[in-house]
Amino acid sequence: MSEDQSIKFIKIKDNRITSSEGLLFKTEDKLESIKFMSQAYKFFGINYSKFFKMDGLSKAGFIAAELLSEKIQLEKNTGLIFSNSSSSQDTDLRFQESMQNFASPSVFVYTLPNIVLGEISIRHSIQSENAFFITEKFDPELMLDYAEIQLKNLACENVLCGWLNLHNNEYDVFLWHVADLEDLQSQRGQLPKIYATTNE
Amino acid sequence: MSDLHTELKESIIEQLNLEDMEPSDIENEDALFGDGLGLDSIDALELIVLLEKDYGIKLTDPNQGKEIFASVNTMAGFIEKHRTK
Amino acid sequence: MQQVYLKSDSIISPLGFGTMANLRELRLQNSALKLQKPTSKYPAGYYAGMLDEEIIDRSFSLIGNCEDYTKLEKMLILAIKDVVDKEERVDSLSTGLVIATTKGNIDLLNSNKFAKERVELWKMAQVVADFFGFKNKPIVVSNACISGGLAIKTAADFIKYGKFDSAIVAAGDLVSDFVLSGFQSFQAMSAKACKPFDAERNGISLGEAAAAVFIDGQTSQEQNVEFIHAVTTNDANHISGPSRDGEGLYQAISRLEHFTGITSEEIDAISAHGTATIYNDEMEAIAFNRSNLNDIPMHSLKGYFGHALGASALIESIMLKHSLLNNELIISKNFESSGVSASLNITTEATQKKLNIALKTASGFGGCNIAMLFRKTKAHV
Repeated sequence: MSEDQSIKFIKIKDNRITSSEGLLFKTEDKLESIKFMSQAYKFFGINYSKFFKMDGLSKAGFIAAELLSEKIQLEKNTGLIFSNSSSSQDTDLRFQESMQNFASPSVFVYTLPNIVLGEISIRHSIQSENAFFITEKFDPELMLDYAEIQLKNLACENVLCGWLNLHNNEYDVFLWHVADLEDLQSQRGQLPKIYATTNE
Repeated sequence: MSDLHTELKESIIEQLNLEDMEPSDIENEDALFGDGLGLDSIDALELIVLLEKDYGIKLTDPNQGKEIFASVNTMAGFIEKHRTK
Repeated sequence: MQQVYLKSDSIISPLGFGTMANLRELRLQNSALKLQKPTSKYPAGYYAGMLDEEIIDRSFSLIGNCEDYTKLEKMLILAIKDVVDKEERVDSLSTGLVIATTKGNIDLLNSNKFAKERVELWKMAQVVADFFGFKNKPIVVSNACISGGLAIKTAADFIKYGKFDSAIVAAGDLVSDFVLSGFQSFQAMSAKACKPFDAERNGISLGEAAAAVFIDGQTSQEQNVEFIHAVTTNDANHISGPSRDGEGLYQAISRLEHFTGITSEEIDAISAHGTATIYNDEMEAIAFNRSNLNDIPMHSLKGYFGHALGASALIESIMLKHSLLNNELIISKNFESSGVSASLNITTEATQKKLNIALKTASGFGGCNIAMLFRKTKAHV
């Protein structure tokens, strides 16, 4: 196992869910994001009825956090620092469609990218720092810089960072855990490589 | 059980994404909120949309919802009285 | 730890262009909230603070080509331009740009007037950065209704830890069909201009606006307002409803007091979120009471501007800064009698009072809360 495998992560892309330990789940066919997430939900035997009410972004973030939480402790003081490129655009389009007839409140509530932070907080009883940034591309340095300051300020004890993008039904999810400041420094420079690697 | 009751159960399950439920899982007098089906405030808003979309009933006072959405029975009763389609 | 200060600022709203123009209207008790013309969707009309694009273009045409920018971009650029013109220390290489918005150019979602990409928030921010030639990639904060406050915190944190020498924080959101339909589907729109904390409140009024402030690590000769610290929390209760006991907001305030060593007795004024929905205002009242802040003079500015979503916490922080500098409590507009279960000291008369430390709070969908502390520093003459 190479050194960078010590970073605890979950990656969801191209019909595959992978972790630091390898492939966890895949489907043969390319499925649209909601269907893929539902199959993963069933495969992992997760039991959380609110899952079915979530939009695509929240479903993806929920599953990734759920799988990570088997390896690491998500607790009250875990900071959540996330980012993506397309904000809540897929859900925005769905809401706009509903506006033509009857605007749907249950779709509207997901037309903000940070709702997934609420879903993860509710599921894991986390009450700590929240931040959602929008960047054109995966920018781990921005999330790590912000996470470092929150850890130094003792605003949180550890951090769950996440890149969580959904655009035209293409999902690109990469969640990872920062245990402490030392862990954070060791991650600098390594994340783009891990993110880019397609695990077999 | 009337057709309206079954129809309502089916649309509640579909509209509120209760994917792990069947119409037969919902009793006519089951509480929809709280300890019953466990619906929440957004579900209540979605039920208001359902009334308007499927039965042409416009609720203007959200507080009315509490009584109307108590159970499938109370919903069906209200719809029979006020439906315009 | 390095200190950071809120320097020049600007607000672009239906009440006026520039902070002073807006402050003057607040002192006159004027509101941006007007009954808008009925449409097929809103047969009775609706109250909102709307900014006519023609009026924006009158000012914008002096600095740029109106056709090249969206309405919101023009508002953001006007706000930032006002700040840049007053600040010699803005530097295209070392000054950061942090932009807060919830929906950005959402009005472009079904329009072909601009390239598709323009609806992306990072793209909108880049267009604004390019107008001024800023070399740092703009940071976009999109965290529901705490975005404007979180952008101040982000900029201040990055200055304190040396990522930037200084930063411009800007925020803006529009009143679009999109958000109007959404809040209406939530049955959250007030039939009249919103009435924060009032017994007759029954929902929000939306308002569109943009704002900007220069945040600097260097103090200057005149009196400054320092950003002390901010804390965000999630109340982990429900994605659209705050916990009834105000736990998330209470946690944010108490952690902020713990980290700064500032106690409730030392706080002289509070700018609350005060959206005028039944649940939000009640939750805030409970959280403020649990924090022993019930006697501190407090206002909500939503009765003047409406709810400007991602821009609201920035606009309200800027106004709070001027309250501190002017030793002036601003009236909480449209408040007559209390409609919350816990007692609060809502400001109903313009008052001159010595003010040193002020608290700004905001809460939003997704369960997020923010509490921020500001302090007036002494003039160095």
